Amino acid sequence: MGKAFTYLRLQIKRAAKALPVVIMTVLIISVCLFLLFIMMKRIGNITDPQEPLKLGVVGDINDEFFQIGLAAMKHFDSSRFAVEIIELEEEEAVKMTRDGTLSGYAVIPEGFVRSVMTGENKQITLVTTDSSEDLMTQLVIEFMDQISGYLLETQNSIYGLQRYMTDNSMTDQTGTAINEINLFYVNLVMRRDNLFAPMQFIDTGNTVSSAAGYICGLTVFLVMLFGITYSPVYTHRELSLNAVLRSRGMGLVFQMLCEYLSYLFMMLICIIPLMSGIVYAIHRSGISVAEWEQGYFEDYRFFVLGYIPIVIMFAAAQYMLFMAADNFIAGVSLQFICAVVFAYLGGCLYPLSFFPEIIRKSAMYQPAGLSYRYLADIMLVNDGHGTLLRMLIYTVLFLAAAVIIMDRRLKHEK
Amino acid sequence: MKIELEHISKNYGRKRVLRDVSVLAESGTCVGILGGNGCGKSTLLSVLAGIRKASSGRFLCDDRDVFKDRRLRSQIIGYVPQGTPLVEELSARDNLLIFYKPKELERELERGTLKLLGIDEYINVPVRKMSGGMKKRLSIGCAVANHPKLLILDEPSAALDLICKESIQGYLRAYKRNGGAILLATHDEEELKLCDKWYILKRGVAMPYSYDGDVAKLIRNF
Repeated sequence: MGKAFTYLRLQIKRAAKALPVVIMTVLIISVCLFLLFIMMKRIGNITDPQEPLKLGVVGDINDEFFQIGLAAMKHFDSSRFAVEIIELEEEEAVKMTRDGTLSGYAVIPEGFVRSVMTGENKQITLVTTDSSEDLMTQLVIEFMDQISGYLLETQNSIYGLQRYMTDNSMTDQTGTAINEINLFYVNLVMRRDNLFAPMQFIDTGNTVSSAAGYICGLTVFLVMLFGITYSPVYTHRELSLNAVLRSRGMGLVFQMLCEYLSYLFMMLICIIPLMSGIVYAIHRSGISVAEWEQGYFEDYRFFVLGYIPIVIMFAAAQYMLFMAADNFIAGVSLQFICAVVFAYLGGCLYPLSFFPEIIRKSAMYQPAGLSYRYLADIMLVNDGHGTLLRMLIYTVLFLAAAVIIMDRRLKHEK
Repeated sequence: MKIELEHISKNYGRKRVLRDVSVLAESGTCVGILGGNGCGKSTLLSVLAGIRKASSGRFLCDDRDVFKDRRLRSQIIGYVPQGTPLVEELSARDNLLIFYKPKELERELERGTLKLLGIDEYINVPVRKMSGGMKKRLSIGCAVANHPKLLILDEPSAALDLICKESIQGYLRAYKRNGGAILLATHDEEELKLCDKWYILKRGVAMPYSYDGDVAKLIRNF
């Protein structure tokens, strides 16, 4: 036990020698991530929700009825603050869609209005970029779908009404009835705010605000990247020392625990003050985080402490990767690739709502997703015991894997 | 003290690296394990050091089975592998402290083994700034912390200059004189002269060999 304690103390001393370089590297990564946070916030329109969605309209738009409809949508409709419709040539629309000025454009086919009147129903084509399989595209498609749907339903009801009038010998009143039903639909279509209610999030108790989501995601990513900084120290190029210690009676589990605990200690003394600083900087910069609005200081302390189990888990994961790599380059690459892949699939870099269901579900079972969930639970004052237990299980699994890798390498290394 | 290796074998899956290794060593003697590259010398030494498990056979020290007694193994064996079993970022003193108690270390540095190895001259130098010879002497210094009865060395003079080799061999001669047994895997001519017994490891079998200083004849037997 005495030997193990000495080994732990010397491992800490060894790691402490690299601390100045590690702190510099972590600060640079933190600044980069903070800038990324600011950028994401702007792109995500968190600060500027008034920016309207721009849609182009090209093709046969000279029809009198169509022009009335467009004018009405542009000028009278209250949703014009959300959607801006621009009439233009197709060539220009392609250019503007490519450079991102337009979210997409609708191509109105030749004789569209006439076809609607006669029941032929020519289709409107919606053009958007193939790289924008995101919420905005989905919104545009949904918007166009709704308009087509209403036009079709309007026609059906008018034809139905005409038949009803004819069947019941009321043809003298048909004109008035059609006018009334048209006015009803015009009123409905003109006031699209009746069709699209402002987006409301159902409070499931699981969703954090966008700003809070970015804070949780990017700080978890920062913890995941920490392994890069200590790769030169902890990557096991050779295991001669471990072999000698084993022959002297210090088992691999003891050795691993000493090395892991030293790394965990260094990680904690770097990450916890850093997270306090980041959270304080966010607070001072005036960025509004809805979850922190009330009782900020109390939550802030609690939130920072929430990183402790996350650090414990990722220290184990990173130690396992140190053990798996046999040179510095492989060590850094492995840490970086694993951090990016797991952070991405865990919803730390991009909201999980944009991913297929299988990824959304699996995120709750992988380390990055669990860490994100744990921080989100702290922000929402939810019970995070289940998540904590899963993180503990992962920690044990990573450490067990580290011992197995160490053992196998010792057996196969000369 | 009598060290006996009896019919030791080691398999890696289906591959038999060691088939039948039987070696005898006594106090104050040095046994050389010879053989071409990849013949299993390092595997044999790591099996004896307890890093790998033998598939069969016995390792006896005065009739006590070392394979079955971990504590005994850690007490009687000092192992110096081919690599560098040192923490590069730390000084010689810190590395030695993993194996020595502080008071014991000071005593050894003043008038013991570590003084003999010349480690006292660079005790505060970080390992990464040391030459290959300094590192090897420090590795031996770490290995003999428990005053082992059997010192196992895997090519200790590999890639060292003549002065370092002489310094290490001088220490090994002194170790032998003091009653220690040495098991040495080597290719070095000078180290061969240090040995009292030789075994050639060929196709996993250790065969006794009588070395008469003729290296060409020795190589023909590999």
